Parts: sequence; structure tokens; C-alpha cells
Amino acid sequence: MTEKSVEHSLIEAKHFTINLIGNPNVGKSTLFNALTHLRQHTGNWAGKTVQLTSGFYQFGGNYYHLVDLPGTYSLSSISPEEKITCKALCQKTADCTIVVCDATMLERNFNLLLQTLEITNKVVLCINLLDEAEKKQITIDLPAIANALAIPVIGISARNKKGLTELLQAIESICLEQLTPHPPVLCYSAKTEKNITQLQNQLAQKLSSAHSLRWLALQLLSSDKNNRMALCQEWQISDDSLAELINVEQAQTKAISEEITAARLSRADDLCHHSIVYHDQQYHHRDRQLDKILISPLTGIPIMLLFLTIIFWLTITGANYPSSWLSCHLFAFGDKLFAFLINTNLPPKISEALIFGIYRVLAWVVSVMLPPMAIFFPLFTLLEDFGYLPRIAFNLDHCFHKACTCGKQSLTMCIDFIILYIIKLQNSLKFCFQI
Amino acid sequence: MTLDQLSIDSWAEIQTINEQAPLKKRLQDLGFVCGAKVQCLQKSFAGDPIAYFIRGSVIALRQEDCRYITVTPLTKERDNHHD
Repeated sequence: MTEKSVEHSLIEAKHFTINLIGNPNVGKSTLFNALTHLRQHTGNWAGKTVQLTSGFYQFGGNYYHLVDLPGTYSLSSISPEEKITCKALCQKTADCTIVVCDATMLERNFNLLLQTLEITNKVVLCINLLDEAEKKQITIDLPAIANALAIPVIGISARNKKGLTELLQAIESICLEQLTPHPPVLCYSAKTEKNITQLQNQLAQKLSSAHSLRWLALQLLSSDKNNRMALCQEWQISDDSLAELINVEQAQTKAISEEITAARLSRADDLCHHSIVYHDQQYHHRDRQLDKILISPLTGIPIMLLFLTIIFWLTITGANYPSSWLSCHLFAFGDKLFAFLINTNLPPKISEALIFGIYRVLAWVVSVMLPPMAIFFPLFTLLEDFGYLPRIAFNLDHCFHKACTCGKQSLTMCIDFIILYIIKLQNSLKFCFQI
Repeated sequence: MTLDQLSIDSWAEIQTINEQAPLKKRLQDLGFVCGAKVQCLQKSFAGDPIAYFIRGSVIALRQEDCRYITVTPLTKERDNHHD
């Protein structure tokens, strides 16, 4: 490795672009942070990464530009996140794509992986949360998956930063073209294949070869009229050439769409069947038993209220002690600072403005706002790690649905509640609106 | 019968998903396809949404979305979904 890095620094450092994709909540952002050392915020609810976040890292003398794409379950639907991710992949501007999967939910995660493999072959499969899988006594045969898909498969635990070097090496070998994966093409029925080839040939004449034509052909064949128009607009295929491109009937598109989805799911099942062993057959049973208590109609709401009351009580009452300690010490320090400033040659008006105007306001804001936040957010993160937040959303969805929104908003509301409380604290001293 | 009528803890096989379902594509991607086996886990306190077990993960669906999915109940209890 040292030889290699010397060699690279002697020639010239290369710059590569890496896409990072995966289902929501598989630890994509944690991996991103671990690789780039950039403190990007990570959260537990779906669709948090709406805009593209990117960062840099250096490995073996080369520079890598890592783009964190929005978390999606699929590339074929039409939500904004899926569109962004799909477009980024189809343009083939990246030198390598990392697909992050949750080791405990590979059945669901493989759908996205298989779709990605239909777009590009430069893929590294990164199976995260191996430590969680170990806890649940799930053994994953990584070489078997690597064999079946003919791509590098790296098991990691992003939280504990395990397996990251292997991942970086796999990415390097694909970027430097020391390794060119040839994943097997997912084949559909002869009739569909014929349609795909035909359309692909026609598309080849209209679009540059940089695009993933097979994928685009598949998308056009399986989408209804409106989606087809949107796709054509996106890929700048003019309307009249569209008519000539597609002469597949509406009823047929539905059949093709179903066929494609079913084929992908059954391939995913196949992969899982051959590579995953569940030693503890009842592993999901315990989770279900816990759910029976946490989200049941009888006990779900009281337990949730209890949890939230404890958290809010700890935040509101518990914050008083560090708050008074902080304000006491900060104000005492302010007085000392004022005495010091008076002794210097500074005009009294300026030192008064500095201490009473700036320092005291700052000290007050810090002593009032810091303790509730320093208590509330770690506690909330604890609930998040425990997996309780989606359950709160489940419990409250019905009420929120009536207000034309969804249960996920309850989590934002908890945070809003604390912020309102802090504002009220400030307002009580008539600071809030004078600042 | 439709998916929302499935009683708690029982398994069913998915027959069809109505064309009008607004979330059809998303449902398919999550594994709600013809022939897939699904188990009803839990209803929330108002009976909506309902949590289902499908393809190794738990997914909550609202009643309005469940109505688009027709299923046939499976009588045999499937203790182990990974078979």
C-alpha cells in the first residue's frame, strides 16, 4: 500500500466521484460521516437527506468526492428523492456507487441493490449494521453474495468504524479500474426482453451512450402515460419521437411493470435464501412481543405518555440546576471582567456596552438555552436508538391524519415543544423580543 | 377480502392490488405483490394505521391504502417466515 501511495503521489493524485445510496435509515449518513469526518446531521426519520450532501476524503493518495444521495426504497417510483437518486445514477458521472444495506433487513434492501445493478456495474455493496445482525444471531455469507452478484461485498459496522478500510480498498480498485464487476443481468420474459432491446436500440440513436439505456427502456416500458411524459421531459426526448419509440399498449405496460417488480423481488428472495442463516429462529418474536406492549391499543398510549412525561420533566426540572449554576458562574465572571475593563484605559461607556450589552445577554442565553437542549436531545437520541420514535409515530398517526398530516410530525412536535419552552423562558424575562 | 379486514396475528396471501391505489408502485417495491405472504401484527389504538409483517420487516399502512389490496387468508400458521 505504501508503495502504491508513493507511486500515486509521484504521478498525480486522481479525483473520483462516489455515489452513496441506500434505503432510508440504514446508517448511510453515519457511514458518510465516518468516511469524510464531516459532521453531517443524522436522523431517524425517512427522507431526512433531501438535498445532496457531499464531502471529500483521501485514500491511497487519491481524492474521493462522496455524494450522499437521498435514501430510497426503490428507483422506479416518482417521489422527489427517487428522482434525484435515479438521475444521479443514470448520468453515470460517478466512478463508483456504494449501495448501503441494513444487515438485518436484506430482503427489503436488495430490491434497491438489484435496481442499481441494472443501471451501473460499478457497484460496491456495503452491508452495514453487522453488529446488530450478530446480536440477532443472523449470519450473512458475504462471499456467497459477492459470488452471486459478481461485485465486491463488504460487511461493516459504521457506528464502530469497523470494516471501513476494506470498503475504501474496494472502492479504490473499482475507481482505478483494477476491478470491473460484471454482475449478471436480470432477465425478464422473452417478450419483454424483445421490447427492451428494440426500445434500447431506438434510444441509442437519440441519446448519448453515457446513459443507462437498458434501465431507461425498462422505465419507459413499465410506466403509465403521465410518468412516461415526465421521463421524456427529463431525458429530453421530444414528444413525436416518443410516439414512435413506444407502441406498447396501456394494459401491457401494467403487466410489464408487475413482471419487472416480481422478478426483482424473487431474485432478492433467492439471494437471501442462499446467503443468510437465522440461527435464532425466534429473533423477530421478541421484537413482536415488545411491540405488543409498546404499540397495542391499550398500553401503547399510556406508555408513550409516560416516556414523554419523563423526558419533558427531566428536561424542564433537571435543566434548572445546571442553568442556575451556569448563570451564577458566568455572571460572576462577567463582574470580574467588568472590573478588569474599568481598570484599563477603555472609556466606561464602551466597557459597559461590552459587559452589560453583549456579555450578559450572551451569558443569559447560554445559561437558559444550553441545559434544556443538552438534556433533551441526548434523551431523544436514546429513544431513537431504541427504535421507539417510529412507534410513537404509529401510535399518533390517526390523530395527525385527521389534521391532514402524518404521525412522523409528532416527533417534530416534541422538538417544537422544547423550543417553545425555551422561548417562554426567555420571554418571561422580556429578553426574547428585545434581542 | 381486503387487507384491512385481516385479523391480528393471521397470515394472508396477496391476490391483487387495485390499479387506483395511489401508492401502488411504492407498495410493490416494499414487497406487496401478488402471491406475497403478509401477517397482520397490530392495530393502533384507533384501528388505523395497522402494522404488517412482510419480507422480514414491519410496515404500517393506513386503512385507506389497505382497502386497495385484496388477500386470501392462510389457515396454516406460519411461525417461521424465512422458510
